[in-house]
Amino acid sequence: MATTTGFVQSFFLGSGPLACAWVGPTPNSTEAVFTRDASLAGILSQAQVTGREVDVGHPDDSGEISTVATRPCTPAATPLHLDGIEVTQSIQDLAQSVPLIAGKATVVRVFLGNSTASTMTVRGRIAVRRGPDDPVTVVASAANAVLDPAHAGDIPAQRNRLGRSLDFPLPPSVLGDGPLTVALSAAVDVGTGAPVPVGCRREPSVWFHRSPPLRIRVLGMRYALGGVTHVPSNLDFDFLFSWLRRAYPVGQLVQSQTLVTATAAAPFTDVDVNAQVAAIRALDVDSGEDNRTHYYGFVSDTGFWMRGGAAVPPTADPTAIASGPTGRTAFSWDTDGSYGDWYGGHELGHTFGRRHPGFCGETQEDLDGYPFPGGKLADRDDSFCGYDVGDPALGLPRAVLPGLDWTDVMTYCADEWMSPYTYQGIRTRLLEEDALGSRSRASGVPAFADAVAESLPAGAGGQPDPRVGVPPVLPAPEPDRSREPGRVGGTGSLLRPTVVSVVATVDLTRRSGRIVHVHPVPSTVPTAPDPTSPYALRVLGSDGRTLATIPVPVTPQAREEPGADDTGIVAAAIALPAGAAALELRTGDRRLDAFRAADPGGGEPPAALRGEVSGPDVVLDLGREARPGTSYVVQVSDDGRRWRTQGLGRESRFAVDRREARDGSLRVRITQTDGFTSTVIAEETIRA
Amino acid sequence: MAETTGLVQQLLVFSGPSACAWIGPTARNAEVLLVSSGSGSTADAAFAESLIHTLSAAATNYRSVIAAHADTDATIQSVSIEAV
Repeated sequence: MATTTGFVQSFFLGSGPLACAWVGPTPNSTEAVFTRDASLAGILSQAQVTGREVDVGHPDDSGEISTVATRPCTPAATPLHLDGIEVTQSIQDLAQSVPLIAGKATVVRVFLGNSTASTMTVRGRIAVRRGPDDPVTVVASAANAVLDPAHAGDIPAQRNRLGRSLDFPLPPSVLGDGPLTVALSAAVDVGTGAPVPVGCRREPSVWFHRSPPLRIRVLGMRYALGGVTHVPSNLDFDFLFSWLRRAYPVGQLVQSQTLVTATAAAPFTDVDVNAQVAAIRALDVDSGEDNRTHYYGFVSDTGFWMRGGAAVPPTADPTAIASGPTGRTAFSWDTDGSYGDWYGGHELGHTFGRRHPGFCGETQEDLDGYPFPGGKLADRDDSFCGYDVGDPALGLPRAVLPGLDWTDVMTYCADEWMSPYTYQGIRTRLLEEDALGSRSRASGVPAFADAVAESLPAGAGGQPDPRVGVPPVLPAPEPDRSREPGRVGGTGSLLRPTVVSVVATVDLTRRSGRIVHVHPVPSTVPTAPDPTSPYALRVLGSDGRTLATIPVPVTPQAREEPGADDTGIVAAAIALPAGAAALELRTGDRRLDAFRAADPGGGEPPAALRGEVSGPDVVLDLGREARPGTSYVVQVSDDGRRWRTQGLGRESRFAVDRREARDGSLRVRITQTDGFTSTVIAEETIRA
Repeated sequence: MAETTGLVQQLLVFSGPSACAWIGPTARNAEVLLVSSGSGSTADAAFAESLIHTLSAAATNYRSVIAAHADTDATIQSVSIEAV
C-alpha cells in the first residue's frame, strides 16, 4: 500500500460520481489519484480549499484511493507547530469570514504553538503566491514572536496580544484582486540563529475582492471666536484619512480637504454645519465633483466643542452629510494626539446607514440588530479580533484589538474600532453607492471624475486626488456648453438655471423647519419627489400664484441623545417652472419658511479682486459686499473645468485655503446669485 | 460542452438533494447553474451530494470553480477547482 502526501493542488468531480485529485507539495509536483466514494471526495475538496495537508492511501499499482486522512500534528516529533494562520486587514475571524479588500493594507498572522519546555523567541518568513505559475514573494516577519509553552494550541492567547504571533505585513504588489496562497517558509530561533522545523503545515488560499474606493471631501470649518481664528490642524486631517484607510472596508481613499469659513456664527451646531456642507456639496457636484463623494464638516475644538451629527439615509445615498469635532484630548482612552479620526469614522458611518447600537449611552436604534453583547467586536474569545495595521508616517504602531475588549465605532463606548457588523454594512453600502454611478448632470456631459475614470484601467475605481502624488489622466476637452439651455459661460454672463439646490433643516418632532441655502445648480438632475414625505417645497410666481408643489425627501439625522427631537435635512434639487419668484417650505397646510429671490438685475463686477496671503489662507478682497438679496459663491479650480466651493455669503472678503493653489497661483471664480439665478462676475488667476 | 468559471457567489440547497449555484466573477455577473439528482438513483444522488459539498466548500473559502454543463442545459455535469 502506498501513501501520497501533500496538499490537494487540483480537484475534479464528475458524474458517477468520479473525483480526481492531484496531490503533492507544489502545483507542479503532484500525483493523480481518484475515487468514486462521495465521502472521500468531500474530504479532498475541503482539504483543498482550506489548505490542509493530507495522506492519501492507495494500492501500489493503482491511483484509486483507499483512505484519506488529514495529517496529524505530533508535537513530540516537531515541538514547534503551526496552530493557525489568519489574514487580516481590520477585523477578522479564524474562518476568514470577513472578505478581504483588494489594495487594502494586509497582515498575515501566523500562530505557532511551542510544545518544548521553555519559552522560545522566533522570527520567520512566509512565501506568498498569486497563481500556480506565478513567482513566490517572500515576506519577513515584522517583529519577533515570543512563544510561551503555556499558549501552545491556545490560539486566543496567541492572538490577543501583539508579540505572541509572527505578523507579516504584505507588500502592495500582492494585494490585487484574486487569489493568494500563503505558506510559512521558515522559522528561526532568535536565540541560536538556527532554523526550527515547524509541524502541522497548512497553506491556505484567500481571495482579495475588488471594491470601490471611499470618496470623501473634508471641509475644515474656519471660525472666529474671541478674536481668534480656529481651524483643524494638519494632524487632524492626516489622522482622519489614516484611520479611514486602516479601519474602513476600502483599498483606496479618494480624498481631498480644504478650509471654508463657517457661515453660522460660533458657537454653531452640527445642524448649521451640515446645512452649509450640503449646500457646498450641491454646488461642487454641479461643477463636476463625483456624485458619489461623501462630504464631511470638520470643526476644531480649540474654540468650542461642537457635538457631531450626521444624516442616516435608509438606502444608499452619498448626498448624506456628516460633521464632527476634532482635537487632542477630549477622550481619555485616545492618547495618540487626535480624536477626530474615529469620531469622523462614527459620523461618516451614519451616512452609510449605520445606527447607534445602544450600549454606552447612545440611542438604541440598532439594539436588536447589533450581534454582540455590550457593543463589543465579538461574542467569543476565538471569533473576531480587530487589527490596526498602524501608520508609521504618523507614528502609529500596529495594534491587536481583542474582540472582547474593544467596542464598535458606532457606540459611545471607549476603545472603539470596527466590528464585522459595521464593516460589512459599510462595504455593502459602498457597493450600492458605486452602482449609482457618478453622473448627476442633466446635460449628459460626463462629470470630470467620470471622464477620467473611464480613461483609467479597469478596476482603478475612481480618480485619486492629484495632490496625493498620482498625476491625473486628463479627459478630452468638454464640449462647448455655451449653447446649452440655461447656461452661458464666461465672465459677466447670466447663468439661467432651471434647477436650484434647496437646503433646509427640519425638526420632525415639532414639525418645524427653515430654509437655509438656495443656489442655482443648472447641470444637476432634479431630486426625485418623495410622495411619502411630510415636507414639500412650493414654488410661487411673482403674483403669489402656486406654480408647483414638490414633496421633497428628508434625510433623518442620527439622534445624538436619547429623548432629543428627531431632526432631518432637506437637500433637494428642484426644477423651477418659468416665472418662479419664491419658495415655501411647507408641511401639510402649514408654511414653515419662505424664500424670495431678489430681482437679479444681472451681476455686478467686483470693485476689485485682490488676493493677499495671510498665514494658511489667501484672502480675496472683492471691494464691496454683495447687494441685499444676493450673495457670492467663491470657487477655485485646477483646470477651469471642475470648480470647488470655498465660500458662501455677502461679505466682501473671503479666505481661501492656500493649499488650493497650484504652482503659486489660484484660479478663482466669483458668482453672484439671488438663489434662483446667478452671474459670473469674476474669473481670474491670482498669485498665491 | 460549456464551462462557467468564477466564484460561487451564492448557493441555494434543496432537499433531494438539489441546488442552484450562481457562479461568476462578481455577484452581478454570475450564471445560475443547477445540481440535480437526475433519475434519483443512488449514484446520481451521491454525485449530487458530492457536488453540493464541493460547491459549498468553494463558496465559503472563496475558491474559483470551473463548472461544466451542456451548451443548452444548466445542469452541472462536473466541477473542477484548479491549483492556486
